[in-house]
Amino acid sequence: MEKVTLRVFRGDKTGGEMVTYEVPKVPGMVVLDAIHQIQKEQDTTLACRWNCKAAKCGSCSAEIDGKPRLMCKTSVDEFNGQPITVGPMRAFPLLRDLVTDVSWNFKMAAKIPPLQVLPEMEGKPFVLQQVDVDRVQEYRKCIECFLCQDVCHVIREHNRKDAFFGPRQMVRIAGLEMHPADRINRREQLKAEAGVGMCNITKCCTEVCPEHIRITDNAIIPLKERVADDYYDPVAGLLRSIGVLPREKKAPFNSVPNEQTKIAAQGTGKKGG
Amino acid sequence: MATQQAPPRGTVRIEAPDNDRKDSYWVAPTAILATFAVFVIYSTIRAFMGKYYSTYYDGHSFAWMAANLRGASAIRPHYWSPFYSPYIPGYFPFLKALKIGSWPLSAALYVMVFPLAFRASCYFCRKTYYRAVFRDPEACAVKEKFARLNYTGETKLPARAVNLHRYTFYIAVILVIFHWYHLYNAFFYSQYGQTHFGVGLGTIIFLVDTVALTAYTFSCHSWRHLVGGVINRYSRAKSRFKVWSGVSKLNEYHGQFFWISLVTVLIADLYVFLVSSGRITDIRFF
Ligand code: SF4
Ligand code: SF4
Ligand code: FES
Repeated sequence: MEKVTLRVFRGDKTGGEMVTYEVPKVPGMVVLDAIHQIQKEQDTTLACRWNCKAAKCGSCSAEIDGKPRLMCKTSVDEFNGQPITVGPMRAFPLLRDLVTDVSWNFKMAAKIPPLQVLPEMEGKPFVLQQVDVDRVQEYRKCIECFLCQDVCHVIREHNRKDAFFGPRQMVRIAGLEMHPADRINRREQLKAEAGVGMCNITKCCTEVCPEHIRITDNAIIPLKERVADDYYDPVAGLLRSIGVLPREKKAPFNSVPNEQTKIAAQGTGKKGG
Repeated sequence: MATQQAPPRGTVRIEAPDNDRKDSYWVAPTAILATFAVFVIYSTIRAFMGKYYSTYYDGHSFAWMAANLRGASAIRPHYWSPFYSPYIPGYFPFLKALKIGSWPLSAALYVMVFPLAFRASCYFCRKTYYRAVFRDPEACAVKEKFARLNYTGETKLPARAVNLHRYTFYIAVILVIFHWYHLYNAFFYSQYGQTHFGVGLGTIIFLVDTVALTAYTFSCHSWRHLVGGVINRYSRAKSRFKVWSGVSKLNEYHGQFFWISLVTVLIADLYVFLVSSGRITDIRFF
């Protein structure tokens, strides 16, 4: 019977190594199947996180042959019989084997206030047209696999978790900033603690997103343009001050009644620990 | 309040051994670097050359042209190099008197800064040079060789200046109009002092270049933002929604248009150089 060779990272934060396993190949097999086979038949202590096996829960994120991918969406046929290397996401603290602590992402998400409905829409049925929500629907496809956060060099290589919320949170903010019923000015947060300026649009997040969200082109760049409108465009600023362009209609970010979501005093430029 | 502190550098990546990318991820940045090098060397030489940018007089007298005219019977196509367009000393003759427009202050230098600024601040081009030149990152999930401790992205000058990309776009639109003007002229040639309609290889090159440059310019992310990206409620701005949707479609190919127009503009200039310096004769179709 045909075999699949895997080299799987085994270890915890004190250290670890790549361990080689061989599993029998079955038709339609994905990397997660092979990991399950190892757990079931060869080593029950192998730790991995998974849930749906349908690329919808975003739990099984790992690095396969060095690339951040979902284990349940990666077919073993792709590797033409070569050994497949499976390791944990390298941007987050390791717990054990293939499992990492991704809680930083949820801490950043908690700083983003949820939809704050426009006063004229409050308490009424939410009537919006399809054309109004088409754009933000792309951002809502996110399954929070955090592969984009893992691959983003700002987080992964430069470790600027103190200054940048990461691409997944940019997608989230985009869905709120561009939402036709939201009343909060989110550019204030983007420019400050969320740190949209830290991204240098090198598009690795877009490359790895299993939901094919065009993170850089459709979320980050439009947000950068909106921040430029407010903070960098001298002519727009002048036209706003003499009343030719309309002033900001949205409520200031700090009007959100939530301690957690107040913009931190530290800006994007300062270095964290 | 609690602020998430970054763990000290070096501890964040889990050094899972032996899990580097196995594909040839270095090919793309290397190829891009080589392409940029060729373009920069070629355009620098051409920018300082200060001659062989036109195959006809167009109201100006160029000393370097006389040597290659070869009599009144020669067909002189109306080509003008995009590197020297618009021809500033032609519009402001006093500059010529100051020797501005000839070597080393060639007429290209005033013009080329604008497409250079447009491309250098272009969202797609930024990706390519951050990856290929600054290796920041070289490729996705690849360890950065020169990873700086104090990475600040585009929040500090000079990188922060890219936020003014929209202004370079406005200027690029003017340059596109000149491209179309030169394309129109390229459909004519002179012979025996008469002007005729006709098409040569240069006309085709100009046509492709002009279309490519137009597509590149009008698929710009800043333009997309300006025409409708700024709107949150499209049902109240239906016509802008249509334009925005169209630009969004073009925008998906912005990178391709970037590369195509970079190559076609080089070919267009090279062709004008070869014809005007007498190295080749224009291939005429009719
Ligand atoms: S495009 Fe920006 S957010 Fe996405 S991976 Fe690159 S630097 Fe990070
Ligand atoms: S944006 Fe894409 S890559 Fe990032 S967490 Fe969501 S689904 Fe995953
Ligand atoms: S197991 Fe749910 S995304 Fe892979």
